[in-house]
Amino acid sequence: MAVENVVMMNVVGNLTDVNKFAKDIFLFNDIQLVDAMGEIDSGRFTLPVDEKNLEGLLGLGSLVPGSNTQIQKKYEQMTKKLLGCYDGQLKYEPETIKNVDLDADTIVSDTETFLDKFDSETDEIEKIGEDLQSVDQSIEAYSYLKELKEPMQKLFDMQFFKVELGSLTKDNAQRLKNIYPSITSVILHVGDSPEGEEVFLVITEKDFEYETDRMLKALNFKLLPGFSKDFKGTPEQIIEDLTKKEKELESKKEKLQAELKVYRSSNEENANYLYNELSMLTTINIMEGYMAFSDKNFYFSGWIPVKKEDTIRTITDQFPDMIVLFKAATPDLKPPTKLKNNWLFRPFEELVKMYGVPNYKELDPTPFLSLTYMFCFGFMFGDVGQGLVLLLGGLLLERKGNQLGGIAARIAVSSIIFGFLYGSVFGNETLLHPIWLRPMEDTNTLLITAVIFGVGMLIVAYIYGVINKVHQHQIEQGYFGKNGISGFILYLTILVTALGAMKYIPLPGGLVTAGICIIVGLTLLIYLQAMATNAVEHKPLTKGITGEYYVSSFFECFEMYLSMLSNTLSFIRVGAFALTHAGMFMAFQTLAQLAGGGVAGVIIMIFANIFIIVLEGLIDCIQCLRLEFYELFGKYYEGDGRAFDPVTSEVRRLDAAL
Amino acid sequence: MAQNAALDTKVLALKAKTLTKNDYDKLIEADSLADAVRYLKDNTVYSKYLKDIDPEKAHRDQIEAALSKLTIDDTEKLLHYLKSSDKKLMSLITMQADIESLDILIRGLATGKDLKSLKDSLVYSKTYTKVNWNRLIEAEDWEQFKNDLKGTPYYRRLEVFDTIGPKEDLLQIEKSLERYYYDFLKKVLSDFSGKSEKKLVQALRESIDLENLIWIYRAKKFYHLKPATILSYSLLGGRYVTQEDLNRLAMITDEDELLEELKKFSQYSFLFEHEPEDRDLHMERRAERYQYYQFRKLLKEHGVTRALAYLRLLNYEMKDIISIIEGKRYELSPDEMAAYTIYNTKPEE
Repeated sequence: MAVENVVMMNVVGNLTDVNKFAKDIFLFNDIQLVDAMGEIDSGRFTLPVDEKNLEGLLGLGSLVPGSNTQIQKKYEQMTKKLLGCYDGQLKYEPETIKNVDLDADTIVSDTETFLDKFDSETDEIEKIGEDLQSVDQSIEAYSYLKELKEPMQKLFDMQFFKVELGSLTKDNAQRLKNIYPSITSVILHVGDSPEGEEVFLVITEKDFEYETDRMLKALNFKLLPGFSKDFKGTPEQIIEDLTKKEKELESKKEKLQAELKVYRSSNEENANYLYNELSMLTTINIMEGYMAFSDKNFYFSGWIPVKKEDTIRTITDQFPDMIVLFKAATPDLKPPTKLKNNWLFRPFEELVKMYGVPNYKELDPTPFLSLTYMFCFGFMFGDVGQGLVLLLGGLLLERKGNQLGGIAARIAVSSIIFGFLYGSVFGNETLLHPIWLRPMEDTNTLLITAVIFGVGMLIVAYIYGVINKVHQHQIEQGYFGKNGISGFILYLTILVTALGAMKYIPLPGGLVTAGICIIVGLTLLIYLQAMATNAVEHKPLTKGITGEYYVSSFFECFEMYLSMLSNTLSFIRVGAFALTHAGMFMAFQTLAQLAGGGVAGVIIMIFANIFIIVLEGLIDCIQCLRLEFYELFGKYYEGDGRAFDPVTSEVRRLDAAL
Repeated sequence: MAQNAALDTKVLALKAKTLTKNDYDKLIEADSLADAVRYLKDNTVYSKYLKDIDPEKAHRDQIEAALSKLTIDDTEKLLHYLKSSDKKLMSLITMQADIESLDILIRGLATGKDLKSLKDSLVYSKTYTKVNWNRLIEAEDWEQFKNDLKGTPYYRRLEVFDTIGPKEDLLQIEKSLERYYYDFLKKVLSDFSGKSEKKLVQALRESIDLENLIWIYRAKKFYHLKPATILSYSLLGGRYVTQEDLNRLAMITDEDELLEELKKFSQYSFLFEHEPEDRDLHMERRAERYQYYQFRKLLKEHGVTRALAYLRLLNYEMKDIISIIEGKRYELSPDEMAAYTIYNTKPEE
């Protein structure tokens, strides 16, 4: 059985141990968190009454749920800042802190110390950057006045005049020129700014200052920020001094940047630790959301695989006072389903999950699905060369962690095997001698074989269905239903009788008649399955049966016959697609010949192969899936379970949601 | 030409949806303001934009904003069909929308309103606007407002104003943005050297003339501004009115002399040849009607000329609807109302 058994673990531990316990559980990973508060409230989390459990029992009366979003946000902010310091280059490796005792206060204060130093250095660099900018602005401003050989102080000290330097857009400069005659200031055009504006030096008699300001404002005159009374020398001197200052600032900035770099690299290991510790604290906080707390204890619940009980013991044994109870899974607890398959079948779990995870009482359909899927695909898509291409692609994808790649690689192997059976390499049928047959030459054998294998698969599906239903004590469906034992025997009888009647198999005439009798009897039984169930359960025969039942049951029987026929014939498609596959090649080969062979022919055949691999490969995958989900799963599989969700994926989800 | 064919057809298709003479008659005959709005809502291309407006409680600003959205939508539609040099000309429409919305917010800020309450009055092209409006309406003071505009061309026009509030500054700010729009127009027009759009360029340069003449007339008569200020806000790049003309006009101090000088521009004398009250009241409407007929003619041209003409006409249509709605509020007779509309809505005798 490929569904792994799980067991509910309930833990009561000392409050002081919660961090370490949560961390170890997280690193153990193979556990699905359960809301402890809910378990306690529903009365499932119980402790045997003895002296050892006294404290834990007492605490049950006054519980509060865990998790603190405020703290979590703080941790996450710090984590983010820490990452920012290293441009996101820190590594998430929770294993590295496996043996570290996590003390939240120390971690937070260590991180703060690191960040404070980092911030103060970056602030200083930023400040120098601002200084540099204002120096640049002043250099720009005074470079417009280079031709002035007098010290600026003389201009600024004029008692009756005010001096301003600013810029105007070209259009407004044009307007300024239009109104020169009515202006009472001296206005000199001293150059053009890098933004494409015209720069003017304006000298105004202070009595007319108000008028001039209004007029300049109307023209959107923008004062140059670097033009300041603080500079007193000639513009040339000022620029010289400023350039010197600029160099000083730049070298200071470079020095600080180098220091910061050293600080960063020398602290990288430490920062990486802090980063992992903070991430772990966030994780623990999320996990605490699932726990309950009393004054002295924490309460934890989770599902673990039965096989891992011992491993868990080694974790919990580290904590002397910890009470650990295991409780077997019962259907009413709706335990999660953990699939466990070998390397060959594992990728196909994805396909099963697409339909639904088996419930706890169901057989895992993965092995059967895997085998039949590989078989059907290979049957339809038998080609050595194309199989190899698919295999390579699949292996590459699988290496990148894509489960579909695993499926592709496996069905590709089947395709290669059938390629040898059909003697086909990249559609070429001359290179290899077919071990079995050439699809186009022996159509009937191909189609009949497909149906025979289909019947085989249906029989296995019936068996699976019967086991599942009997296992779940579904008497009506399991024994008398169309997919139960009755349905199964009916299907077999119809097959044998029909083949016998048509003389495909030697069957004495009497047995045919007997077969027909069995068929009628079983049909009647299925028609009245509710009554049969009542009889078995010693209830009144017509209990829960209304007039409607007879009508709907009649149509169900009718539908059962139809689907037996259609399900069986449906497998013809496996053979039919094998024909399509060969047929498509023939079409492309004809095209290649029409093109006169040679280079054009080769190009057409290359295109044909790509086209067939992509398009037909996809269609065949879908057709196989249809057979699995509709023809087969419909007979035996519910898939209404819920998947086992290990703690890491749960934490990742909640972390992202915050 | 093939490219124009698609654009030309699209413009005609859009034009076909605008108001007809019959629609104007119905609007003017409507018993009340609410009826007029209801008519627009039930029978015209504007219904989509008015669907959330209750005719009984309709407010002028609200209706104006709703109607303007059609212009923006149509501009965006037509922009798809244009080559990039023509797009620039059409971007004037989206720039105008930006500036009008900025004016609304600046006025709101000056009168101490919460800018968020003005959100519904803002009309702009979501695709072509240069402003982050959602951030802008969060601004709480003038400094923050200006800062939010950094990176847009509007910032340069506003940064020299340190404060907002006094009426005078507000006029300066609005004029400053308007002047930027016309400077941009002048630049776009000077880039249009081809012959095909010659008529469009001429019409738009005449719009500059009209703005200038009306500005000088009003600045002298109502604001009593100094020549330098008048010239600071006068526009460059007109068709018939030269810079020398403007300089000369700005220097005239006597009102009668100014009027005589203005009348000498024979193309535009229709603005000034009326009794004073009539002249002042209808000056803008007369200028618009003059241009209305120009753009009606341009609608028969092709390409961007036709597209821009259509959008201008749409703008006049919107103004007329607002005039009629205002007329309803003041219960004007159809004859009186006709005096305020650009489109000739005068009832036939």
